[in-house]
Amino acid sequence: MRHKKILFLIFVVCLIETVAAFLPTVFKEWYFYYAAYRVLYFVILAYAWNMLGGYCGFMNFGVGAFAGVSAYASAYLLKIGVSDFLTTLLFGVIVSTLLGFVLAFCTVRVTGSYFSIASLALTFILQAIILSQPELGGGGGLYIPEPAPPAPYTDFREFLFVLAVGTALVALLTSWKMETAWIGKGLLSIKDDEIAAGTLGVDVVKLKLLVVLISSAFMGFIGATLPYYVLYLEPYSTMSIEVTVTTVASVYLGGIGNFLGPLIGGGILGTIMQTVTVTISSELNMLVVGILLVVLITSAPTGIMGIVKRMQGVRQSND
Amino acid sequence: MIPAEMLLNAFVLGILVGGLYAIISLGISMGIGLLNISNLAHVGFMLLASYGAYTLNAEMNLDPIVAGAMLSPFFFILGYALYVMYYKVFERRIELPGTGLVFLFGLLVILEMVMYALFGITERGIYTYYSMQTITIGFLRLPLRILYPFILCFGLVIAIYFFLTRTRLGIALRGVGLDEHVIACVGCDPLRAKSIIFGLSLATASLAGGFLIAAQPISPYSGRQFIGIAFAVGVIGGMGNIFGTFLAALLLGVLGNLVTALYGSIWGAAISFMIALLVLLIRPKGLLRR
Repeated sequence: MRHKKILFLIFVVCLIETVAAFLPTVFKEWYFYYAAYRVLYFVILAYAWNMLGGYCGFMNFGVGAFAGVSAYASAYLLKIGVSDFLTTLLFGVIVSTLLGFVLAFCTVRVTGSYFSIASLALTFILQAIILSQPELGGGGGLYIPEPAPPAPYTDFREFLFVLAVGTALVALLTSWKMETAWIGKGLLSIKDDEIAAGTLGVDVVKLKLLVVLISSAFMGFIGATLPYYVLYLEPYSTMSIEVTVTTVASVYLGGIGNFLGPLIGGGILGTIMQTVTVTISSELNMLVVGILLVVLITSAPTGIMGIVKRMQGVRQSND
Repeated sequence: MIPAEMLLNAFVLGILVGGLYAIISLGISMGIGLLNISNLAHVGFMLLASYGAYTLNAEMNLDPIVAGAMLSPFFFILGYALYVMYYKVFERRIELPGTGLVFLFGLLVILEMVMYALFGITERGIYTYYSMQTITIGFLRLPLRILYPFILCFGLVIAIYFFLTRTRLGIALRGVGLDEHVIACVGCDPLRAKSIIFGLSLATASLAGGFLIAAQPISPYSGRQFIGIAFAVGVIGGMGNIFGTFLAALLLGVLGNLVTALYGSIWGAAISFMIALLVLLIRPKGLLRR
């Protein structure tokens, strides 16, 4: 039964990805791909955040740092002349995963709040470092030459859209697996009671580190594609807490700890932001998202999926 | 080669700056050590007090340090109320750990953006009669705008230390950090004690805000650079350890200033942060904890 379910899911995922891959050859509307990538960017970051925050209780406030360091890593390779897409992508993932590993390895034995404050501090430290490095463009920013699109596509952003759809789907499958497989059960027990889980044979440290690695790899993967999309990196928006606030708000809007939550929350918030960002300033944008986040976690901390689940529960009890 | 005089000056200036680090870190360190909350919004409240001092200075020509002290009772009440609300909403909700942290993070963002909306991005500073003065002892130059806060911070840290270790209330407050159930058994309301701690922590943020704007001009984002330093100070000194925090702040102030003098200001903060991570790896309870 379970076996059939996952085969079916993989089939659906492949189907969606195939449709997405062929879409740009039929449907020519560059703004659609431009906006869709931006929305998917936040969906993927929300997935990565949810793996750690939702299943593990480790709150990462350095989303901007993880995605940004990877973006800068791949942009730096491009700048020094390595133009192979896969190499830059891989390098970005390695750098961001390494960062996540070091940060988590040092803070995993103390309470989770150390990780949170360290990740937030990291954002500003990395931003300051990049600002001071002329090789990384400093405050003026780093320009990236527009790469040639691969075979069937006429614009590189079309290819990035297909890639982002695929990454989001893989993130969804990973999250679903994390909820259902052994790793999810271990994580749930850690979230409930770390000490009890440890005494019952759950390797708390190893499991947490594993999730940190997966989460920061996803952040690094999508972050590494960012320079190809914006073609211009500057530290103020790349390494900002704006990215973090939006990601966290997406997760809480959709429903934390649920594998559909980031897709729903990131999709809604990303789309709204993509449509209104033209009309309002980025500071006001951040104020609105910040207030949304605080209101959400105080009044409806389980998000849309939590409400849906509760309504399902009510309906079932009525039957 | 950099002359020894300059290095010595950087050393002494580092100690003075360390005093400011101490008062900023104290609130965060108390939060983590005694309440198990890392108050990410602490620096936001500090800057709120700085802007409060700026406004008081512009309207009534008050000294920024006096203004920070005058605002601190209000911040105490604010912190007390905030913690009661925080406790009711988040601490009792055990099924979603970490939600409180997200709340404080959201609060930091809102505070920054509100200050941005009210005061704009331009740096604001207060110029008092001692802003440009320095005391010269031999070849040592001590700027008064940093010396005054240092002396007051030193006094404050000692006062808080004695309050927490010698008075009945202080002992009760520290007890809550150790075991709140036992505290409840001996007839002390843990929620009240915790609210007082959080209120005190915000009161120190208000004082720190006054010192900060006396020492340097500020922008709505000035608090950010102190998050890493406060984290490092708290980790090295041991969270909740008042004296440890003070010594660690002096240490990092000196180290940061020497590194800044030699390699540029960026690396001061970065090196403090790296040392903090190393200390967490080797001695998670802090270098200076018994």
